[in-house]
Amino acid sequence: MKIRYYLLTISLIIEGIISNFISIQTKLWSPLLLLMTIIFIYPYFKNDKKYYKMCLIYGILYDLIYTNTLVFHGFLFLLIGYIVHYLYKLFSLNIINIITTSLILVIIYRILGYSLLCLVSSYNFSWITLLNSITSSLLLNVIYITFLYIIINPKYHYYKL
Amino acid sequence: MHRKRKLEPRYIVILLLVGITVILGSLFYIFHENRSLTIIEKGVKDIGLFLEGVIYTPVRWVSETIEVTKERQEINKEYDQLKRKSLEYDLLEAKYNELDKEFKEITDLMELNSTMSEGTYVNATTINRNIDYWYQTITIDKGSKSDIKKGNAVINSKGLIGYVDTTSNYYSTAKLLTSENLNHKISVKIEVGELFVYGLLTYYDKDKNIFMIEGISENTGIPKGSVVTTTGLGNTFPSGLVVGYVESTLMDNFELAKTVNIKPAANFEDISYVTVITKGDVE
Repeated sequence: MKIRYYLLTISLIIEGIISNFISIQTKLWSPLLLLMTIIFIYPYFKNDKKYYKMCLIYGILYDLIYTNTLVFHGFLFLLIGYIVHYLYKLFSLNIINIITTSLILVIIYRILGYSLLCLVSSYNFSWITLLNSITSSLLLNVIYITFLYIIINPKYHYYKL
Repeated sequence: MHRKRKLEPRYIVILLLVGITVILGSLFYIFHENRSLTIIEKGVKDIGLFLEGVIYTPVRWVSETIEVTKERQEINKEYDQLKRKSLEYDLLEAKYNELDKEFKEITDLMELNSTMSEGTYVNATTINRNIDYWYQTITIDKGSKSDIKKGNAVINSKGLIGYVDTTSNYYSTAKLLTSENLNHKISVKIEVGELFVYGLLTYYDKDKNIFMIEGISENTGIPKGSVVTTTGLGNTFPSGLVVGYVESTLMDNFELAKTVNIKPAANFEDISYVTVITKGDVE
C-alpha cells in the first residue's frame, strides 16, 4: 500500500480519536481531518479516476465506521474530489493556495452536506446553524492541512507518495 | 479506425437526472428507514473501531494518568469532609432500608415493569465521539454480544445522556440527547412537591446548554431546580432516569402551554464511561 493510503487511513482513525478530546459544544475545533487529507493528497494521483475511486471508498468507510449513513459521505467526498480537481487546475501548488483551497472546500462541504441533510432528512434549514458549522470547522482543519504540507511538501515529492 | 461515440446532450441530461434521483432516493431511504446494520456494515465497523481502539488505548492511558493525578489531589481534600459526613451515614442507611422496603411493596402493588431499578446494567467505555455538527453520537465498546439492543437507554453517573442507535457485534453507537434529530421524543416528568408535571423533551439549545420541555398544560408553578426524570411511558426508557433540573419556565405566545428550560444533569463533556440499561428497548 502506498504512503498516501496510509496517510488517509491514519487521518480517518485520528479523526475519531481527536473527537474524544474536543468539547462537544465546540465552536472552533470541529475535525474534518479525512476531508483535509483528501484535498491535500490530490497532486499525488496521476490518474484522476483512481483519485475519485479513493474519495468514494474512504467516504463509505467514514460512513460505515462513524456515521452509519451509508453512501452519504461517499457521495459528498466524491463531489468534493471533483471540485478539488478543478481548483488545483486554477491554483499553483503552494501553502497559501492549499490553505485557500481547503477553506473554500470546507465551506462547500458544509453547504452541500447540510443542504442534502435538509433535503433527505428531518432537519430544518437554519442559516445560523450552517454558519456555525462552517466557522467551527475552519481553524483546526487549516492547522492540519498546514501540518501535512510541512511534513510532506508536495513540490519535492510530486507523484512519489 | 474505431472512434468513441459521444453521447448527445439530451441523454447526458437524462442520465444526470436518473443519477441524482437514485442518489437522493437512497439517501432518503437511509435517513428515514429504521434499518439495522447489515453483516458487512457490522464487520467493517467492528474492524475499523478495533483499529481505532488499539491506537486510542495508549493515548487514553496517558490522558487518564494525568487526570488521575489531578483527581488524587482533590480526593485528599474531599476525604476530610467525607470523614465528618460519615458520622451521619448510619442514620441515613436505616432510613434508606425503610424506604427501599416501602418502594418494593409499592412496586409490587402497581406491577411496574420498567422501573430503573429493575434494569440490567452494562458498563462500557466510550471509544469514539462523533462531535460533527449534525451527528452528536458516541461509540461504545459493547455491542449486541453484550445484549445491547437498539433503543436502550445510555446513562452516566449523573443521568441520562442518550440511547443506542445502532449496534454491531462488539460496538454500539449511541445518539446523544444533544443531537439535532432525536428519533424518540422523550417523555419526562417534573417533580413539583408531591405532584408530577408531564411533558416532552423536544429540543437542545447548544449555545445555552439547555433542553426544552414542551406540551405542559398544567398551570402549576414549577420552581427552579425541580428534578426532571423520565416517565417510562412509551417503553422507550425506564422511569426515574434523571435528565436535568429546571432552569426557567416560559409561556407560549397564546399563554396556553408552558415551555420549561432545563439544565442537563449529565455533563456531556465527561462521557468516557457510560452504562447501558438493557431493558425497556424499543424497535
